[in-house]
Amino acid sequence: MSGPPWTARRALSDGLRAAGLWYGSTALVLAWTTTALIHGSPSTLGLLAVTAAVVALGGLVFVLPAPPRVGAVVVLAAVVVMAAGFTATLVVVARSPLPPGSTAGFPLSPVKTAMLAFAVNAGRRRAPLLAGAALAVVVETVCAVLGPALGVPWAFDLPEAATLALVALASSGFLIAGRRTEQPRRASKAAAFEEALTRTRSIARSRAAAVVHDTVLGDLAAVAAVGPGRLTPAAARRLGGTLELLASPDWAAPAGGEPAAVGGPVLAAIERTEAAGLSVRLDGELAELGGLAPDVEAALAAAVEQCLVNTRTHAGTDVADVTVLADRDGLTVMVADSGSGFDPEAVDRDRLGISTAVRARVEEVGGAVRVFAQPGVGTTVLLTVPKGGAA
Amino acid sequence: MSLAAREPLLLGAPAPVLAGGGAALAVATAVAETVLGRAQVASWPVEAAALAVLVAAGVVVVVQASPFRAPFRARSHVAVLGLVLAAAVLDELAQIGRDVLIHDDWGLVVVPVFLLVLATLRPPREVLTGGLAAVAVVAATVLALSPFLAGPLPAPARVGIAVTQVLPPALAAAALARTTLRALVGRRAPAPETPDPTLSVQQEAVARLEAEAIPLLTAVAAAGAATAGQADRARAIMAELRAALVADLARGWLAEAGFAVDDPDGYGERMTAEQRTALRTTVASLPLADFERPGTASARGQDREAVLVLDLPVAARPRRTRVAPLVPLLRTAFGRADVRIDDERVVVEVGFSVAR
Repeated sequence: MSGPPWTARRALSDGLRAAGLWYGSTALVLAWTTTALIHGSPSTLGLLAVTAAVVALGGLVFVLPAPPRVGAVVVLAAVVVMAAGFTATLVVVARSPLPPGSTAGFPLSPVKTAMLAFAVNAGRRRAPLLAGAALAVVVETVCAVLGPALGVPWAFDLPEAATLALVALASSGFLIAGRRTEQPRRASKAAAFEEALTRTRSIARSRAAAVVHDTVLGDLAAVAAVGPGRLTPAAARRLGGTLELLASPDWAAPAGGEPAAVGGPVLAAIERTEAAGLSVRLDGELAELGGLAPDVEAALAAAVEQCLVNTRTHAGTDVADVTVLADRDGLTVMVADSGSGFDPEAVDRDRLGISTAVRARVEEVGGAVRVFAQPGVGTTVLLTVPKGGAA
Repeated sequence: MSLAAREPLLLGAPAPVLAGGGAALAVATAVAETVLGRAQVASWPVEAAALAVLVAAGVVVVVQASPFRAPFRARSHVAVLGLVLAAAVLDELAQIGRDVLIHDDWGLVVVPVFLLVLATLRPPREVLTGGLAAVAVVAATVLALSPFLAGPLPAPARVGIAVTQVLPPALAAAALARTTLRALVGRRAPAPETPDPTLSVQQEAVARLEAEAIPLLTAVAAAGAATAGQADRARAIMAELRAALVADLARGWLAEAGFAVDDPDGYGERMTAEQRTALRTTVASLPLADFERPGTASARGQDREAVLVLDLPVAARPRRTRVAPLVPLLRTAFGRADVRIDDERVVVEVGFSVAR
């Protein structure tokens, strides 16, 4: 069964309910216990235990899940039950060997405050205050009418008045202050939406940029490189594939939808670079590649391929090493070459290959990229991805 | 963590209202009871001192619960509770020899008010500890003064009456803090659903490519060959396209939000989602002069520590009550946050640590 939509205000409602229950039930138990210390009469204590139970029962009525539209009936029922319990308590203590000096005396006063604490459970917004005020009016009327008749004069009950004011403060303080924060709370919701939108848009942009980098920029580079003359069959095929891809409706959609190549997308990517003339030495726990989530595997394959393309086009070497290392949580693929290397500090920000085709893809699935390079020594790229996919 | 820190807009902002209302209620109750129970007052100077200490507790809680001073610290908790308990003890001392009824002593009536006011401001365990300390102080005071009190009740009964006044609200305050916090931590509001931006991003990219790249590539593909001019043009388009893509990717959230950004080390991009949302909320809640271009954002830092300053020109000086709820929000998200207001601008300064 799905409940009403959760909000922080409901959490506060739960907290106020717990506070009311603890306050009311502890006050009743302590009032009874202390009365035992004062009176010590078993019959009086027995009767008071019954009346306290009736008051507690009335308090529990507030906790019952009220069907819609009968909230007022539930509140009224609780008020009646608790008022009945209090009236019985008044009668019992008035006829006890040591009656209270007034209707504000012990244990009548803590029973009243316990009832007001239970009233905090009376629904939301102003209902607790209305229930508390109704209880106070009913109970004080009983005290004023019945008390003197039983020999207990009526007196103003300061703790009760303070508790009623406290109920008012608790039930309406958050409401009043909540109005003051209505505008920033609306702004906060809009900000959370904008933040989520910006994040998804940024991911989509990275993804689109990676595709453009892998296709259009590569084709433009091929056209620029070939100069005047005919395209090679491979370049012509690739160009046709690019134009076909860009005409498709969802070319910037998340990767991972393509059927897996034999040996998995990572090995397929390595095979493609080998077909282009690079010699790749494979090592490590290759079988672990099969345990990756499809989106992680696709992102890793694209990143590895781009690293190897970089080796082939920039490092001045035709040999690269790919090593797979696995641990409990993730997988690290090390792509290393002993080529010309570069100075990472001096790299132009224009290095789209690393920033989009490698870093953006890997980070999108919850992974990380670390690049170690030194001019004349070579380049090593560590691609770490989680086994279970992005969190 | 306190409720005020966990939900600064819903539970932090009301703190001054509750603190002010609670303090006013406590002082009014104390004055009323002093007048009504004047026959029980044995020493008026001590009673006056008790009232003065109570007023001091009210002032401290109101001042320290101000959003501009958030968060409410443990030392403020100790100070407020200490002053209230001192007032309660002084009230009992002022009635030595004449106190007939314990449970209507205002000292025992105001302690619960402050316990409940403090419940949202400090962590549940500390709220419970403070409440139990209050019970211990009240019980010890009544027990110690019992031989000097009027009336026939035995000492344990007097202590029981006093504890009946203070223990229930102490437990209720702790229950309020703990239950609310558990509900807040256990269940989070659902993440906002956002439309999938893939299609619009794809359309933007295609529009850019259709300007030059696609026509050129289509012509080359159709011919199966490239001319010298097409090769040169391909080189130029490639450079332009690469630069445009890099600029797109380098464009951070502050720039997207319309800020003029001065952040050479990219600290702004390394904020958490919570921090960015807090800043967005702040910006959206102010009467800015221009919402499209909210102002300037400059970030400076060293290693992992950074400071971001947002300079936000405003159409009119915002009222402090409008800015007040934003301060605890910012201080919950950032290690340090200050908001300065003048007639023409609001300056938001936040300090934060970034991941390596």
